[in-house]
Amino acid sequence: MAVNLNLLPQEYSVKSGLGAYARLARTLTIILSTFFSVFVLGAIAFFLVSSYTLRQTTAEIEILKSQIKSRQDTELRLALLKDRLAKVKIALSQGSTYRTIEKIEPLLNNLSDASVGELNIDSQKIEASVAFSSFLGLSNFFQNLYSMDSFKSIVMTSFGYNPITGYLTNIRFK
Amino acid sequence: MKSKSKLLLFSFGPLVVIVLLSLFALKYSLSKISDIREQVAANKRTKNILEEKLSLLSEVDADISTSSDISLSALPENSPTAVVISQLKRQAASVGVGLTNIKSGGGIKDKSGLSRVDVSFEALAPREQLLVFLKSIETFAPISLVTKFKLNEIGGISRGTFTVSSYWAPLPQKLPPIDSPINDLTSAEKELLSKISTLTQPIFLEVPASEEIREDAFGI
Repeated sequence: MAVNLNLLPQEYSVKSGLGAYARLARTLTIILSTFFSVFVLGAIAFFLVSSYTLRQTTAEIEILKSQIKSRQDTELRLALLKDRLAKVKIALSQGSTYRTIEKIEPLLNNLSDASVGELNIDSQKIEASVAFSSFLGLSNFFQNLYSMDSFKSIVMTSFGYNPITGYLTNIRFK
Repeated sequence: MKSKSKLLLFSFGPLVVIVLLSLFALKYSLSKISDIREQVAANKRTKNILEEKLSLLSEVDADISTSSDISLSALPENSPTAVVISQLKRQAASVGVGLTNIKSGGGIKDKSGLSRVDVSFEALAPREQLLVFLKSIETFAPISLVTKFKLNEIGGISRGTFTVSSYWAPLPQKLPPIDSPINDLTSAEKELLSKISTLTQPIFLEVPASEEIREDAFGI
């Protein structure tokens, strides 16, 4: 029959609790060492791949930059074009008599037995002084005036009659 | 006691070392991984921007020269007084209107931020012709707007007094950096470009340089 002999003197024997912790510590050390090694290898692999990708993209960027530099004239012209268009838009938004003339032109073209003594036009208003040699001309004029709806206000500022020259009226359009 | 100390040292010592090493390696490598990932992402973003930019520049290359010339003609970088007067005379001649008393002021800074010159003149013609002429003024380049118009009629002859404002602005001084994105024209910009493309362009004559140099031009 086999007999277990403990040849270690009593004073050198290790208590069973501490021995268990020691074994646990050794096991944990092995496990942690394994994870540590795997992690380090993984990190090295990641750095190698990322460094390669970084070098690759940096080289591609430099190639793209040199290609763009070769088209610098096109880029300049595009920037100029956008700048000019923005400023053209501002210029065209400034006041002009064009739209005002378009509104009053039908009235002027339909004048009969009449002459325009004075016509003052700016982007905001029109002031007209019109002379009529006959009542028919005057009547047609006011009929056309009543049918106009493109002005905010039409004000007759004066009206006169002279047996020799006929009718004279001043009108302000806004 | 000695064996106990040895046991503690050889069992727990490596564990402590491994734990400390792991913590240090984790902290160091995580920050480095984060840095390198940011750099790679930034590079990819820059690369995408540059690719789009190059593609756009290749696409617009063919027409950009004409378009930019048209836009510069519509709104020049210097005072266009001489060109405007030339265009006014051309336009007036085409509708049978004679211009007199042409005056222009010095350039002024308009409230819009652009620079402006006002050209005033008179014209004698039947009313209908004057109105046709007035409407034609805004069809030529550089962009010119009739800001004031006065008409006087005496004995069937109409005299028109015009004030025409024309604009200019200096060219942009700075280009954005090479790796900044660039956009194509918006639909509104394309529409505006199409509109100013229809403006009547000024005619410039090239005077050939004379090779003959006269030493005494006045024959004295």
